[in-house]
Amino acid sequence: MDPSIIEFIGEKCMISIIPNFSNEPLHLIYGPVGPFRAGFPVFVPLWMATHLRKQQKCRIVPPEWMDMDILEEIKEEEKRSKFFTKMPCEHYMVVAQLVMSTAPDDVPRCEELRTVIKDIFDIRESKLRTSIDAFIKGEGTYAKLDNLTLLEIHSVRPILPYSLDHIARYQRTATASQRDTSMLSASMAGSSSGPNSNSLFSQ
Amino acid sequence: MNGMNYFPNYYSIEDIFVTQEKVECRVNTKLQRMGFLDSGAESDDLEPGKTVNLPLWYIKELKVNNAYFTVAVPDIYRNVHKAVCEAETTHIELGRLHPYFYEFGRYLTPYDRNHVIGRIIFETLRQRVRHLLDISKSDGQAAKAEHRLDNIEAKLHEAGVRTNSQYIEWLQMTGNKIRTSELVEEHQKKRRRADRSDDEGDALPNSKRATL
Repeated sequence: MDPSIIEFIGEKCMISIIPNFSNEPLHLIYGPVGPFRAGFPVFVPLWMATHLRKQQKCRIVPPEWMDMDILEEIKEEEKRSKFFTKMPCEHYMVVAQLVMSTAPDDVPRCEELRTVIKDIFDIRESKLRTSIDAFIKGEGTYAKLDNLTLLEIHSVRPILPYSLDHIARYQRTATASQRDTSMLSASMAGSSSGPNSNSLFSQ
Repeated sequence: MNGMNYFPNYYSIEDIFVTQEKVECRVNTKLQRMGFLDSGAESDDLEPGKTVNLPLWYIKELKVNNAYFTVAVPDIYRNVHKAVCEAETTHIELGRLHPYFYEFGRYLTPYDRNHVIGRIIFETLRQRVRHLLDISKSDGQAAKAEHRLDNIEAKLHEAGVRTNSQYIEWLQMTGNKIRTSELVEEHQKKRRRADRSDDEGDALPNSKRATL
């Protein structure tokens, strides 16, 4: 799972732009993108917005949640709560990264916003690590986490499922051997079934 | 990439390494003509009571309580090391104890009457996963040399480092440039070398003509 793939998925978010040209509505596969009129805001997918911005045909309007106070509040909420809070946009990191790299002038107080968003991301990531640790040490069989975004999940893949695989394998051999020898001592018929089921598990 | 979901099969190289490790076994009955197994043997037969070092692949095919050999569990899974494992789980250097600590222990688990090994490897890995996650976030190279991880852990660590570097590359937007493929580069180098040697070949008769 590449970050570039996550970016591709996140680019589908709609964002509002102010074009400086006029055009008929474009008919894309997932629906028409409204008529472009110079000077009037219109909603387009993010990939189209960055594309137009690079050709200097529009101006990007930052989404409502990209505001200093709202983000500070979200950060405080995240620090306080034990669980993950719902983020304003499913792909907040991707949107922030793309908007601020292609159009830093369109966003007021760009650098501070970048810092705050990075802080929020770091807080969530460390919360994720702590909950993984608690899950592994607590011998649970499954865990459920709400409101995680793709990029945060990416930071623990693929190391998490593989390490859980290994832990499960060793757990199986440990319990199998324990069970087998208790079976052997209980039964009178010697070592008939023990080693066979053991080899099944180890392969 | 495919080394991390490790389900050992007959051809997997790590599995071959692990099963090549020698284990100490005590001979229980007299085995005729098997003296070649013991390198310092005087007679053709293996006498009961001798200890031989046999590779694991030889032993694991026999039944667990077979009448011929008793497997002695290596020291790294016993007593002192077991206590150290439990006390200092994250700081212990498993790579130095044995490069294939977990897998070797897994193969030896059925031979251990006290059920110690299975539990040790399971508990140790559980405790160390968090530590692995943390150190894979740092810069990778220096940390790996210091901590001397076991083979399984080293692969997990590598995966973590790779994920981290991909993420950082994306953040700085430096990754993802289209690069020339290796085959094309090699081909271009060869062509340049061929052109250069052609030029030198032409230059030689010219210079001879000049001196003449």
